[in-house]
Amino acid sequence: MKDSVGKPLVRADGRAKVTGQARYSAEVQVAGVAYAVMVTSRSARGRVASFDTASAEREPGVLAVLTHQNAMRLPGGEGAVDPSDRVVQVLQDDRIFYSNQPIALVVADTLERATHAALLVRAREEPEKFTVRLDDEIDRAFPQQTFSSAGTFPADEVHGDIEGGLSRGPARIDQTYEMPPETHNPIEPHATIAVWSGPDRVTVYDATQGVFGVRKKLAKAFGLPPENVRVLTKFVGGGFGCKGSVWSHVVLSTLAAKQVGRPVKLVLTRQQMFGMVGGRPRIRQRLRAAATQDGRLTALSHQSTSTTSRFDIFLEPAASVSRHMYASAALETRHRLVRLDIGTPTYMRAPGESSGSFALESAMDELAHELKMDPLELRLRNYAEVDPSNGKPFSSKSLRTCYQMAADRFGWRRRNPSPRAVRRDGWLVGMGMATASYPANFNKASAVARLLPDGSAVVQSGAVDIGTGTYTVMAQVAADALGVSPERVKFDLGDTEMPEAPRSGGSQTAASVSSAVLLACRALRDKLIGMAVADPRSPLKGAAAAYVAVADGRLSAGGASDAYADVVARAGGRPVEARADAQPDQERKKYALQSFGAQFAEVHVDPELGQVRVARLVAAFAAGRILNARTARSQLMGGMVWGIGMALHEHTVYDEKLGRIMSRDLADYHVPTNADVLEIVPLFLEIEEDPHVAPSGVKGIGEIGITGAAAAIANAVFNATGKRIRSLPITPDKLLL
Amino acid sequence: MADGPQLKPPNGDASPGERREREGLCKPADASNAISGGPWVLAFCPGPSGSTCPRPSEALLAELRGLGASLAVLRPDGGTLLRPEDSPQPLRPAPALWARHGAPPDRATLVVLDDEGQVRLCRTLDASADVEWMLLRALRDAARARAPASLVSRRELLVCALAAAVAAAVLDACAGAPRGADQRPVQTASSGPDLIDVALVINGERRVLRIEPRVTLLDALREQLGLTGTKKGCDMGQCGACTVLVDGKRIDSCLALAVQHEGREITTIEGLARGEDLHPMQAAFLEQDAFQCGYCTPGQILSAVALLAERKGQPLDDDAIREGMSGNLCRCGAYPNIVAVVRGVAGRS
Amino acid sequence: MRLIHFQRASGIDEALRAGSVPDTAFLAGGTSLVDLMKLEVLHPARVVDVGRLALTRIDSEGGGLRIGALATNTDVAQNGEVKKKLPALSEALLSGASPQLRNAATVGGNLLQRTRCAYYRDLATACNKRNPGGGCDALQGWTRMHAVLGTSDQCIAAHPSDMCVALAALDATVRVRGAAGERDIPFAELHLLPGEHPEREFALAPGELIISVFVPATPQAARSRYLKVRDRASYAFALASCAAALHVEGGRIRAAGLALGGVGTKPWRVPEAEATLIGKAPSTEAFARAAEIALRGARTRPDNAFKVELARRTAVRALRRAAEAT
Repeated sequence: MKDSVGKPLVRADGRAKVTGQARYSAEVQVAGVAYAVMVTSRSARGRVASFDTASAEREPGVLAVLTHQNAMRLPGGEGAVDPSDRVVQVLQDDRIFYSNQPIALVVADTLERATHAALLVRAREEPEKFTVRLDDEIDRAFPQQTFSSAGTFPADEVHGDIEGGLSRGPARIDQTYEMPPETHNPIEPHATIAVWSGPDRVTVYDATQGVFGVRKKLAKAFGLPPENVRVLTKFVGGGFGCKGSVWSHVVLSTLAAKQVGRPVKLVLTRQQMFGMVGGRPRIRQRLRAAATQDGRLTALSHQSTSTTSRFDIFLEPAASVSRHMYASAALETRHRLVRLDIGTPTYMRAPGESSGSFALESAMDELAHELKMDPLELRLRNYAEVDPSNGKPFSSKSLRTCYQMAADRFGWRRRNPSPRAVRRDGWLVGMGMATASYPANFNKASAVARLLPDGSAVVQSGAVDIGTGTYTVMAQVAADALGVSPERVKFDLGDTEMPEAPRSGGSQTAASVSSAVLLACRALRDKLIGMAVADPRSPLKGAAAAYVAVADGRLSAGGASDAYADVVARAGGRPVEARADAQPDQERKKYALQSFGAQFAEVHVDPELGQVRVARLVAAFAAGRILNARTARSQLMGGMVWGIGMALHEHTVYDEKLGRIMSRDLADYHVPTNADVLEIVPLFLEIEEDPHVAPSGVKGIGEIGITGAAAAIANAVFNATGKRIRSLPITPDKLLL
Repeated sequence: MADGPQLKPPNGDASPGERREREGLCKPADASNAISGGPWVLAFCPGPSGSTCPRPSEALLAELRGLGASLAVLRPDGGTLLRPEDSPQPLRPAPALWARHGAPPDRATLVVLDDEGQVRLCRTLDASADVEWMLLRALRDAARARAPASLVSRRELLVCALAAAVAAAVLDACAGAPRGADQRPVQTASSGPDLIDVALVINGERRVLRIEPRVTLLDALREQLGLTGTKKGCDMGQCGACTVLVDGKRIDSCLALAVQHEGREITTIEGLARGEDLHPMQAAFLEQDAFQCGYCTPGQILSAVALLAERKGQPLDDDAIREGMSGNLCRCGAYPNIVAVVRGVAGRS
Repeated sequence: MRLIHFQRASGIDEALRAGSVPDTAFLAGGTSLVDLMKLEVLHPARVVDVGRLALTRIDSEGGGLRIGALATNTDVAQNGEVKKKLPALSEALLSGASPQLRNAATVGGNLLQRTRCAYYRDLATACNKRNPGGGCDALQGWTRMHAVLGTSDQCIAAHPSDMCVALAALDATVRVRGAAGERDIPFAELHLLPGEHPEREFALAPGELIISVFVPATPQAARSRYLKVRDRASYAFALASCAAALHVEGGRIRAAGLALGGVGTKPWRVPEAEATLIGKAPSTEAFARAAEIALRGARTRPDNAFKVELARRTAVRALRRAAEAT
């Protein structure tokens, strides 16, 4: 890979996006579409005893009012199809599991008619006693064997003598960090259009991070062979994890389309984006650590308790981040779950790593303060040369370089270690830092590459671009692997008729799909070279294939040259194709596979009014090979902005008496505005050599940007104010007194 | 950042020229094998001296998607398979197929096959018939005939309706019925006593909609006019994704009834570019990667254009840009690049 | 949204005639009304679009400014005379909502905008304002954004407007016209306390149309400032806000205007607090005393108790800024 990979090429899908031509799922033009609107529960738990649908049904244009009483029975049920999928509620029974759960569906010929009719549906609910409060159920917290996050891992791990280690170190901390539930809130709401073209054949346009997951779920639910379900997703308006599972509305819209005999479009309202499509759970983390006087950890214990629903298991692996970070003589990481009457939480940008790093990196900062040591120095003292939890060598690790790059650019040396010591223009000023990390996930992916008679190439894999730049970077990988210029390559995605790729989650797409694309293109290249050297009419006939070089679609060896286009033309003018699968090999398992980074934050705090501004966020990351410097910078920056939201703004608020989410729109659930984001500097190594992590050398950067950011900000707030805030978000009221 | 070569746009964005090129360069398929499953509409079109042949227009694709149907256009020298989500696929000449359906060489013939390959309709048209227009009409009529099936299976009803509709269209054509505008978008408005005529001027073009007064400007654009460049993010004025310009001023179209802005100049993202030439703000967004998923992007661009107009002649520092753009949320966090774009474009103008 | 009968008024008389039909609402910008109609929190059967009436002017009149009810928030905020003579009004407007909303929202609409209480906006919860006698789920619920002043056992919803806080401090009057003719309403009387009847929000007779707002251009108005504290840097409602106007002459405060936002069930002006400032030299102590009086009588919930201290500090800072303004 030489000429195209790494270059900051403009996005292939950019023009479509800036001109408004890109069609997102709700925008695919399907004639005759009917509109479905969900009716949701008021109660947090119980059953629907009866419905009064008469006035809704009478409304002009209403085609159907579906409830559990008249909705078709799904042969395959509502269950999850794999560990990353969720159990859903699709009108198969009268149970209510959480407030704002779908309990009925109105289908009408216009959106306005369906919306209004939905409000006319009266449900008589029989509520049961419920709770949405972590502390109400904390005594019933339970363990798990494993958790699933782009792979399966043990939930609890202990190495060494924890209690002994904790009592041995003279410097100790024992703190609990609280994080509220959060909600993804991509700007595009979930949307599905379902079109049946026969009794057992359906096409679905869905705002999903994984078309194959949708296919699997619908095939199972409706008892169809998978090849009868086609899922198409060319553009997604953000996912961040909430579009990685197949939620109730996807099945509901497909069910409705079958029952009413028309294509059905279902778009969630913004209020419906809270609760029924996941979010980050409420998490309580207890961090205990002890260190010698010169800062070496003698023990590190990280315990996380998080919430899940009554009907499904989701575990946010917050403690797992401590397994890879710091060398400690003793290391304990444990997870517990608590069931509440809520919708099931799900993966939300860096699930576990972002939440866990808030606790871990705050605790390290507290420890540094206790030791009167520079927080960065404390990190370096405990630098892990091998993975602390299993002793494996890292496939690559450039964290020291990241610390240095970021610290230098940030000016960490100027930090005043005494809290509440620096003022500027009436603001308190503080600096803080944290380590960032994210696993390098790689799962099986397939791709097909075709060389067309005109010398251009089409490469396909059923991945999804959720803003990550997949359309672009895969074309770059293909261009280099084939030896053509990138303008001659088109990469297409988002269709279950293409080779299978994993969902766009776990930052795994870049590594997995780029490896498949690389292998498919190399295979295609080799095939074409093979055809040339075997063809008597080729100038390269008889040349040794290994000596043939390709550049700009021209093959050359020993002064002779041929062109891809000519090879294809001579072979009958049909496209030449090669497919490949890429998957992690056994070699890979010998290594610990992580990306690392360093985050540095400067905050300004109003001493009287408590408002916090993140004046600067400077970070450096090393994540294997970077496929496109432009899109990578954007991804990392986006993650860092999420860190600001996590630290200062985001909070899904439940009314504990009603059991209902009351922060249910974008005015009550705050994400950062443009004015909240000042200077963001994402630095990164363009190439961190790593021959083990994936054939393409890619680790993935979609999520590492958020990890450590919230802690860096919280640590900076401590440096500015002398107040240690262990409960997010850091709102003005927490800094008033 | 350095300008890079423009990569090929993804499928669906390909120009008609590109698609025809692709067609010509791919191996032609065998019609008998390719036309399976269903339902199918076959359009036998004689040579250029006869009828016009259907092209893959947006409207036609929308209708095919809505029915879950595919179209085969057969010409004496070959033909094209059109499934809505795939590139058009060329067909080899299939004289046997012409013979099987009795399609004469000098006039167009429309055939409807159900999903078991049974012929449900076969009609030969007048020599001067505009096949494409008739096909569109027939597909629309078939869609309207859909209903929850009770006595008859849904599949059966669909195919009957399709066949009947095509027959009706043929009759109408013979009777010289007037044509409607082909650019009619996906039509969702239905009949009812509360409909009013609302005349909107969108990107310089006057469009009259027959809608209920409660339809918002946003939904009128997206659902009535097929102008989906304006996005629905929250539908309650809290995110700015639905930003449009009305008489040059930016507003949230989700909180306006369409009828409120009758007669005013409405500009959507689709109205910014001049043909192939991007507006400088669009070009700058593209250049500086001031977007990621792209969903908030049309709103951001229009908001930025309006901001510069609002502040014409006044200094615009970064803080003013940030505050001025804070009515447009971006969950992907592209803000710093957005600010850089606005700063750059402001500096240039 | 329910079906509506839509009519566009081409003149004020036509608007008044149409507005006199029961269950009719006037539609100006739509940023509050259309929002609430889509939620079916408000559901007038008839909507009269007054958005094109000639009520957009901002004129000097008898020692003040008369602002047409249909002047947009943006136009008022950017108006040269407003910025010079009533700076707190401009600042308040610019701190509210977003540029898009400000371009559509009118003065009249801003005066009549409804609360942002999450329970009011959620049909699945009990709300006395939406459904008189139906109960109030907010009282024992999430009240971080709710009022601490002017509350009752029926309702604790905060008034959301920034503009109204400035108008309250600046002693505006609101001119309305109805079947009985025209009248001027002192600002403090326009918005009603929830009391026993939270559904009664305005001192307006059915069918009355707001025509204009008059704001006297007093010396204290010329030295007025608006300060807003919120959870994020922009596009958010106030945790607490304050409009402060001071006339200082010979080192003594001659006149003061002080109103609070984010903390009251209506824009919260406290004459008693203003009175303590008269005759005093501007000082942090004097301001703190006034602020303390302004927050007197606050009834708090655990999650909004912080607002008392926050509002005090906000008021002190706003007064300090007003004193520094030249």
